[in-house]
Amino acid sequence: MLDGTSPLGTRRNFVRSTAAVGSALALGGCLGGSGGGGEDPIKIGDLAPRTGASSIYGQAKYRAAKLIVQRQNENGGLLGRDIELIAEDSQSDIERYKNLTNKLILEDQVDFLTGAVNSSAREAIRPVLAENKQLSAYTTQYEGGVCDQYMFVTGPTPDQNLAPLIPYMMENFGDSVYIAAADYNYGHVAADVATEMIESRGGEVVGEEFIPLSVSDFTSTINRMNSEEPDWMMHFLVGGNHQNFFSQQHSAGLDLPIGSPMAFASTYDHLTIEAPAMSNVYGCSTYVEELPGDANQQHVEALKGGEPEIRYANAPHYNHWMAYRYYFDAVEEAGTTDQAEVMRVIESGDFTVDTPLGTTQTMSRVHSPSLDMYMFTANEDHELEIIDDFSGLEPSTLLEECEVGTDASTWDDPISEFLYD
Amino acid sequence: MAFINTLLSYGTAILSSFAFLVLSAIGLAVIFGMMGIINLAHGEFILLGVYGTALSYHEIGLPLVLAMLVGALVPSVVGWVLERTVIQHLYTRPTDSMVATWGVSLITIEGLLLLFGPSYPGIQRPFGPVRVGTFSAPIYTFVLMGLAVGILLFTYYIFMYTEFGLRARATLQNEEAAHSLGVDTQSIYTKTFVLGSFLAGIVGGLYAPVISVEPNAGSRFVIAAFVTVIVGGANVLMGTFLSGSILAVIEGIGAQLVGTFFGRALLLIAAILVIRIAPQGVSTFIGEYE
Repeated sequence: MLDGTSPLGTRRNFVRSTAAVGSALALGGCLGGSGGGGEDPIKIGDLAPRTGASSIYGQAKYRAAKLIVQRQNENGGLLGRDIELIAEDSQSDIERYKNLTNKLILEDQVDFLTGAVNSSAREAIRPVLAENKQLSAYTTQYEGGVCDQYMFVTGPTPDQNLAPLIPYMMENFGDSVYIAAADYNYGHVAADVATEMIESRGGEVVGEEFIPLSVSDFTSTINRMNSEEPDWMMHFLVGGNHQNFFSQQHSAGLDLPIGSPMAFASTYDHLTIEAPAMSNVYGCSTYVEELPGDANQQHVEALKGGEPEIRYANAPHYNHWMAYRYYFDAVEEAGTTDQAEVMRVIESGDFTVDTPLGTTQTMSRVHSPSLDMYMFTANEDHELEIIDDFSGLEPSTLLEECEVGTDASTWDDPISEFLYD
Repeated sequence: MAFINTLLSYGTAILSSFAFLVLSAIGLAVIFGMMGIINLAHGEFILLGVYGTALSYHEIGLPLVLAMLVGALVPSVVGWVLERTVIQHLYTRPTDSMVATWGVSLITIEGLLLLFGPSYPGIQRPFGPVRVGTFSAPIYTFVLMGLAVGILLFTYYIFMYTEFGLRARATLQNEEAAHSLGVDTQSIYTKTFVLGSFLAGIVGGLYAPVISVEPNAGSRFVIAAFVTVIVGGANVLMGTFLSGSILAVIEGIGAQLVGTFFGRALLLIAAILVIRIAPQGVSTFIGEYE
């Protein structure tokens, strides 16, 4: 400062005020729920973050929830009752996730709860769900390992998206792999699982790096990959900042094939990054907008036609949609909204529902469905090309290691764990 | 060859960190360092530059350089309106300015999300890569580094060698005396704030081809900016250059040696140490300018 009495001198005040603002923020955001008249509606709580770092996933999930609930209500609701969607914006904020979960369970007494996006958010609210015996669903592709009486999952585990992707990459590009992953529980567990898969097939992980979610400059990572010279790269980077990686590796001239369970399907990078930066990237997921078929076309149109406007029908929306589908059909079959009864239907082992693709999907005993998976890449013009598809892939690790859906886990004496702890 | 490769790797890691720290900080150096406004919306000022650039590039089809200039005008106009309506009441209330600008930051983030959704198409980096053996890096990184120095010199020139600069320094040093000597201090405050906003906008334009265009992208700049300006200390412009250099060397070496996370951690530890040893920042070591 020019006169020496700078605002820099008030650093202590600055820190104090920042703390005050922070706690004010934490206290905010408790809105009352709305009550239904006549026969009580069936209440569904949805935490999908419409704002903040995960909004690219959350907005599509929110849109899917609105559409499927609206459709169901137009067709007479569930068991003759209306469905009330209580959608709370978790703002991608872990504390808010927890507060809102408590609010939805205790205040609104929802019958079903879903909407967590990141693994960190899921693990933050899972104890709250278990404590309150709350039926819930997690709807994001993830690192695997959720074995929980009260939660079913609709996104793929590594047995479903990495199991096809890693062999493909190794066969086509080679055995030495560099892993770059986001530095939180998802990235670490996913990297471990991938390492095991690569090594069990005779490959080698020549480098591994965990990158904080706040980082968006990958210069040193790219330098390191240049000097390690791997055959291809395994990509577990997540969120807005990390999205930047694809264009950066391209302009740095890193010409390395990249395998990613998130690319295209979750973050539609082929639409937001200038071609041809994504033409060396290979993805694997349950869904991309470009899947052929009239059923999918109509679904995409309906989804994009409403509020909030979304640019691309991504896989997060699809997995979220499926969670609602499972819940609705299970309630119909159980003939009640009693959460234990509904879960009993879901975990029966052969519970099958329709997908928006005109196909069917079956939930396995371990609360994780067997899935049809698609593998794809983009051409030089960033048009998506489906290169392979797989049907009915099982969540094998869970089927071996998780005992939900057996007598070992009941609604009142449950298993509620995460296998990779 | 391996040695050259290593040297180049460390060199680019340091250069890219330097460009990021200095460019993030430059607008804030004026608004916070000189004017004392704790501008928590600084990252969003840069972000408005990013959006302005991306929008005029994709929607109007302007050439990139022109799109960047148009982009820089967006936060300048917003800065001018903001200064006239909100900031001008807060020059003596730095902590209130923090709350107000934080509000502006939230409104901007959510406004952009409502208007353009969670992700807007980005721009490919111009110039492509440079290759030496197995080493490769974007040429644009070196361009950014050069521009960082250039923009610092430009700002230094404005404040040290123009009449506006003289009046601005006088006003910020002692408003009453400057006012009584016939300086229109209110207009000086407005112009200085708009200049700071414009610098942020230029940086947004320059980073539009580098970052992903999404509503939360501003947050990555604001921390780097405050750390650089605070470590820079009392002599704002020289301090920013010095602290940018020191922190970039530390972060670049850490990132290249161990990993990106380690580099970031080292940078923050270094910042804490500097503030502890020299509360007035690294400017202490070069003395204050006249």
